[in-house]
Order: sequence, then structure tokens, then C-alpha cells
Amino acid sequence: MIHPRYLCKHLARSFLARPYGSLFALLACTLAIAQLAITVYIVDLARQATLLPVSASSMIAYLKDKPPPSVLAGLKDSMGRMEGVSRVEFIPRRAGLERMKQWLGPDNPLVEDLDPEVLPDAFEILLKQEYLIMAPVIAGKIKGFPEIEDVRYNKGLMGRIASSYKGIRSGGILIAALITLSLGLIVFLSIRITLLSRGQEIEILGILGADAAFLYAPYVVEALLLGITGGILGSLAARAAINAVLTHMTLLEGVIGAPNMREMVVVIGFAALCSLAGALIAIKR
Amino acid sequence: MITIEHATKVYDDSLYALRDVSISIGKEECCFILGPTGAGKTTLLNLIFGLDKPSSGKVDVLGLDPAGADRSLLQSLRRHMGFVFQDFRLIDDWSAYDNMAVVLEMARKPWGYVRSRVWNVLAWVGLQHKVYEMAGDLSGGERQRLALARAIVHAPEILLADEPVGSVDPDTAQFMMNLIFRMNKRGMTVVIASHGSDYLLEGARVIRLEKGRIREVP
Repeated sequence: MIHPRYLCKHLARSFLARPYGSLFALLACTLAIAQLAITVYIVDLARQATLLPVSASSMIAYLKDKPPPSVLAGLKDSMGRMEGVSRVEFIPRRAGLERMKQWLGPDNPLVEDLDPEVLPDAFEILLKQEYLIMAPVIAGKIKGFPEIEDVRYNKGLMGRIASSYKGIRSGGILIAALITLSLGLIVFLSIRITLLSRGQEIEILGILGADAAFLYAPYVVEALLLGITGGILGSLAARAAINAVLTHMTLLEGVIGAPNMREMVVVIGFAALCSLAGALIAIKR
Repeated sequence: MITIEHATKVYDDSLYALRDVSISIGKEECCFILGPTGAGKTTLLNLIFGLDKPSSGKVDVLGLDPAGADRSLLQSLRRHMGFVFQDFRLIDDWSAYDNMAVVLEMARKPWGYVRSRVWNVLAWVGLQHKVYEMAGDLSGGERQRLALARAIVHAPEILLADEPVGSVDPDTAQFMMNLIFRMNKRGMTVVIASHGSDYLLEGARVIRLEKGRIREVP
């Protein structure tokens, strides 16, 4: 066990030998880890989104043709008896156009002179609250009716994020790998420069009988300190940045939360591991 | 304690630093190795300290072969010895205190012991007023005294000194030799390499080296 006083003296000497270099290395680590924290946050957010139920409680089933009233009544009855469905309402194409005019505005060129006959008739299906999670299954069943052309339901913002999860995850892994490499390189170069600038000291200590642990443990501690301090500062910076974004985007209010403590601990631990690897490679060389 | 049997050291296949040297130095003995520059004195000390390996022959120090020992064993062996290098080998940007304390710190001694021991030994060599000065800022004589202090701070079993009074004034030289003499009287085995016999210690054994060979062992 190396005496803490010796470690403290070593760290103080390292810092005093090149204060600006140490601060720049810490700043670089902080920035890299802040980017890593944001990347982890985004990927985790997308993962969580895949676990969430759909946010809208209604879906629209569009009809293929113009079926006779008896078929419509039969369809409405069948859908109304499905598990999870609370109410089914027929929306003729003219009423559909009126709804579109309400959403888009009556003067919108898209609907201004639109012939209602080009639009499909539809059913609006309202789901029971406790069955929202089953929306994709219910939509699939409704689509199974031969008279139904398509079923649409609003997945909400989280639904759109969830549908992009695979892409977000792949991109996140790539970015995280690049950041990890940068972080390792920063620590590697910082420790390497320190080792080179203190070559005489290491040589003399070796001659005097210092074992490998005594010689190199202080440099490993220095790297870990760089990684952990950078990790804490970077995580806090990322958290502050995300909070600032969430504060200014009311659209996301209540939908997306700030990074949690678990994510921060994972990022700091990962930063420490990267620093350790960087230091060990620098020492090995 | 130290046994060298038929040790030969050759550099670049033709430059003989030592030729078939055999010596045995017992516990608590004080031994002077005298000889002109290039006689092989430093090489002999380096073989004992494990800084060099013999081209042939055997070296045994405290029951271990420094040339054959693995690194951790060699480092452990070195911690039982003190070496006053001709060029001091001090860490210039460390204080006198830190240069000495590190020897005890690498032996994992408690901090209180390190502090008191360093102060005591610095007082012995008359450097207590320079304790926090950088080694690089000390004069030649002070550096020599600091090198000696560092070599004895951990109370080693063997003290090796390569020209320990080579660059100091006669008074300081006498002071340092007295200190080494006292260490020897306290039970430390001392091996001193020197080109002159001005400061031979009383009762010391003298080995003369010339062109890598032992000339006489009285």
C-alpha cells in the first residue's frame, strides 16, 4: 500500500510541473464525458420510449370502398365488441373533410376545393384507458377485416422516438466508441507526457529499489483522478445542458425527464475505466 | 555477505572492465577498493548492486544473485543496500527531504517514522537547514552529503560508496568519512571505491584493482 501522502505529493508535483497541461487535459476529459453522457441519455431515452404505451386513446380505421349500411353496421358492431374498445363511431367522408378543415384551417389550399368523394369513409375507435398498451394488437385485429384498408393511430412523440430506436442505438454506439477512443487518447497522452517529463525521476527511483507498484501506481491514480473528476464535471455539464433544453422546450414537458443518477454513475464509472486503460497503455509503452 | 567468484565483465566483446575477480566481504566489514580511473571499481560496485551483470562468474549478495534475480527480488535486494553514486543521482526538482523520504516511503514505512528519521539523518550530515531546498539548488558538497544521507537513511545492511568524497573539501571529506566509519561501527557493511588512499578508515581492508584485476589483498 502506497502512502497517501506520497500520492498527494506526486499529484501536486504533476500539477505544478505543467498546470495548464493538466487543466487542458481535465477540460478535454470533461467535454468528452459530457458528450458521452448526452449520447447515453439519448439512447436510454429511446430505449425507454419503446417500453411506453401509445399516448393517444383513439385510432382511425379507413374503409376500402363504400360498403352498404348493413355491412357498416355489422363492422361497427364487431369492432365495438372487441376487447379494449370502448366506443366505435362511423365518420362519413363528408364529416371527415369537415374535421380536416378544422385541423388545417378552412382556407388551407389542401382542403379548400377538395371533393369529399375522394376521401375514404372511416371509423373512429376509442380505446379503454387500461388497454392503451394493446393498441398495436387491436389495430392489427381491425386491419384483419376485409373492408378495412388501413388503421392509423397517433403514437405521440415518444412513439416516433421509439420507432427510431434501432437507428438511435447504432448511432449512439458509434459516437460512444469515438468518444471513448478520444477519452482514452487524452488520458494516454497526458500520462505519457508526464512519464516522459519525469524520466529521470523514474530511473533514479528504479535504481534505488522502487517496485513497479510504487513507481507506476501514482500515475494510475493520476489518470483515475482525471477520469473521475472529468466524469463528474462532464455528467453535471450534460445534466445542466439537458435541463436547459427541456426548460426551453415546453413540447417535451412531462414527456422527457432529466438524466437519472444511474446513468451518471455508469458514465463516471466508464470514464474511470477508459482513463485506467489509457494510463496502463501509456505505462506499458 | 558479499561473495564474488571469478567475475569477468566485458563490454563490446573486447573491453575488459573486470578480469576474473574473486572477493569475499564479510558482515560488518569495511572494505576499500582502490585503483586509478578505469580500473573497474565502479563496475565492481555495479555488479554488487545489480546495476550490471557479469559476463562470467558469480556474484552473491545477502544470499542472492543480483544478476539472476527477477526484478522484484532485485528491487527488494537493493532496498537492503545503500549506494552513494559518483554522480549522486539525486532528483534535482525534489527537496532534500523528499529525496531521502522516498527511500523510506518505498519501504512502506509509517509517515511519523519517515519524518523523524529523515530529520535525524539530515542533522547527522549537517543539512537540516537545507531540508526544503531543491536538490538541484545545493552546492556540490551539499549534494554529496545528501547522496550519503539518502544511502544510509533506511539503515541498510550494506553501504556501497563510489568516490564518496571525490568532490568535497578536505574538512567535509573527513566529516563524511567519519560518518561512514560510525555507520560501520554500528554494524553496517561498507564497500568504498576510491582512486586515492587519503581517507582510509582505521582497520579497513584494502583491495587494489588495476586494469580490471586484483593486484593485492593484504
